[in-house]
Amino acid sequence: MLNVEKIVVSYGNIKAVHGVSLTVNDGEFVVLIGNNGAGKTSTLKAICGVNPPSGGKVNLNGEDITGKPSHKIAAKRVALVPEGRRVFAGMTVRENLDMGAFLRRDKGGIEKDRETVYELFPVLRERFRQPAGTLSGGEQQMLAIGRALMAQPKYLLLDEPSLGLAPIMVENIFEKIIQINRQGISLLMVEQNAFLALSVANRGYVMDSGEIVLTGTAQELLENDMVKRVYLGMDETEEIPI
Amino acid sequence: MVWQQLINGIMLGSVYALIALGYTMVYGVMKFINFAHGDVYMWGAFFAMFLARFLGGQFLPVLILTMILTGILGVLVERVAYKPLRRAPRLVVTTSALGMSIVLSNLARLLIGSATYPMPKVLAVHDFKLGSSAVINNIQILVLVTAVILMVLLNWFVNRSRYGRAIRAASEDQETAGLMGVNMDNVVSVTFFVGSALGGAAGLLVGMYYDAVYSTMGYAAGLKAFTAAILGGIGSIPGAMFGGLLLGIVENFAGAFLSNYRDGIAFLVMILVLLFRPGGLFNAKIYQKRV
Ligand SMILES: Nc1ncnc2c1ncn2[C@@H]1O[C@H](COP(=O)(O)OP(=O)(O)OP(=O)(O)O)[C@@H](O)[C@H]1O
Ligand SMILES: [Mg+2]
Repeated sequence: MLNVEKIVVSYGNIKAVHGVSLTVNDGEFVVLIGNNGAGKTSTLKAICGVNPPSGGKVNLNGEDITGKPSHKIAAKRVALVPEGRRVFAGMTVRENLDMGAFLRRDKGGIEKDRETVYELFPVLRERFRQPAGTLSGGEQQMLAIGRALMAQPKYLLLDEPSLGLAPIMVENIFEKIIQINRQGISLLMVEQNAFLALSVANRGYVMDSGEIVLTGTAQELLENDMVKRVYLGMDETEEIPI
Repeated sequence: MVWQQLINGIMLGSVYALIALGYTMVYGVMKFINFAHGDVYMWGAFFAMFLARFLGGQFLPVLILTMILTGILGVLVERVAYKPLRRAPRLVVTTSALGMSIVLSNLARLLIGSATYPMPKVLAVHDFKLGSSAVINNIQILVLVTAVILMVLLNWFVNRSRYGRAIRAASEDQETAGLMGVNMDNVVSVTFFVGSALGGAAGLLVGMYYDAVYSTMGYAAGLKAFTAAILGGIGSIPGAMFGGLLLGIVENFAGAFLSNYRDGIAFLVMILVLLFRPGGLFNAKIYQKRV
């Protein structure tokens, strides 16, 4: 269980996150939705140790990992697919995947997982010698996800995997994300596209101005008036489009 | 004449390249110019001198031990002068590097002396005639072969080894490399060790070639190698290799035809290249992204 308790994230004088608490249970698919600047990315980065929280606690299966450096948290099998993909542009697809497995020494296991990633995203196999910077946005997103999977994560944190992608590509990637969750990897996904996010997840949190303003099962949130109005862009009278 | 200059230029250039690699690797990972690197190279030459006195004419053990000692010196310099400034603005770290450069060269003068010392012979000099006009001696061959082998090994390390890949990843994006489990402290130490060890090897080679080791030898060589790194595109490893060779060759031809302007012409070439290709000849990706 990943448990975040009242974390605070500040950048200088600006408080980006004030007192966010959330939980991801084993095997769960949880989404975090909210408008631009709500503090979603800051929350994920605080969990992963990229910018350690200035207050609150992050607990992983009962162990306090608050403020640990990111490389130590990576060793605890928590992986982040960062906002904007952040693939190593000058390195090949294959090398990017190998970087994902940086902490592993089991050659055979790495090989096997690389095959699994190639099966999940066949285009990566076709492009394995190509510098990652030459991939399309969607392919880079696949690579960023594949790279995170190479670390054999128990908790996978995804920051806006649909960002800047064509609808068909988004659909493709979301299918794969669901598949990853079915394999038993717990997911915490940040997503601007609230409808899409809530239609695939088990539970959700709604974040606004650095705080969690609403939480519930995905179904509850989809039916919530405020969510419908603000995040799904619907009149209260309108039906949810299926 | 032309061939002779070309041979001398390639030899000198291969040494510039070895030193330039230290500048470019550190820049790649830490984004500052380690101006103390020339003095680390000078210390490498002194380490080599003492080792050669002690071990006699055994080239390979002297080379390996020199590289290890110089590598350790580089790591120590980083711990003392740069690590406490990891989050400081790069200008501050660069200033610290300039200070460290002065400390290292003064320390050499203080502990060893300001004279010019001979390098104990590891080989008896033999000249070989190449065609009708060019001459190459066995020391030149040794210098060139050693430099090339070291660069091939470095290439293997950076492209094929686990830590080499981590260094490249961290050069591109430290934050994301951290998410992959890369400990920046280790990457920085490895980078300084490898860069300084190559500088130490260059110290031995230059000391052998000119049969001279002195406490200020790091200034000119450091500046030239830094120029070579910029020429090739700072942050780019192939760039540093190519920039070093180019600079060595240009300098030798300039020296042959316009001997008074030897150094001036080398810098003129750098200015011309940068006017047309501000990122350097190899336009390191890292550089492109940041500009
Ligand atoms: N490095 C930083 N320095 C200063 N302020 C920052 C920094 N990163 C984020 N912020 C600020 O913190 C707030 C939250 O940012 P964050 O990136 O966490 O939001 P977000 O919910 O991920 O937004 P988006 O949906 O646009 O990605 C914003 O007001 C942002 O300007
Ligand atoms: Mg964000």
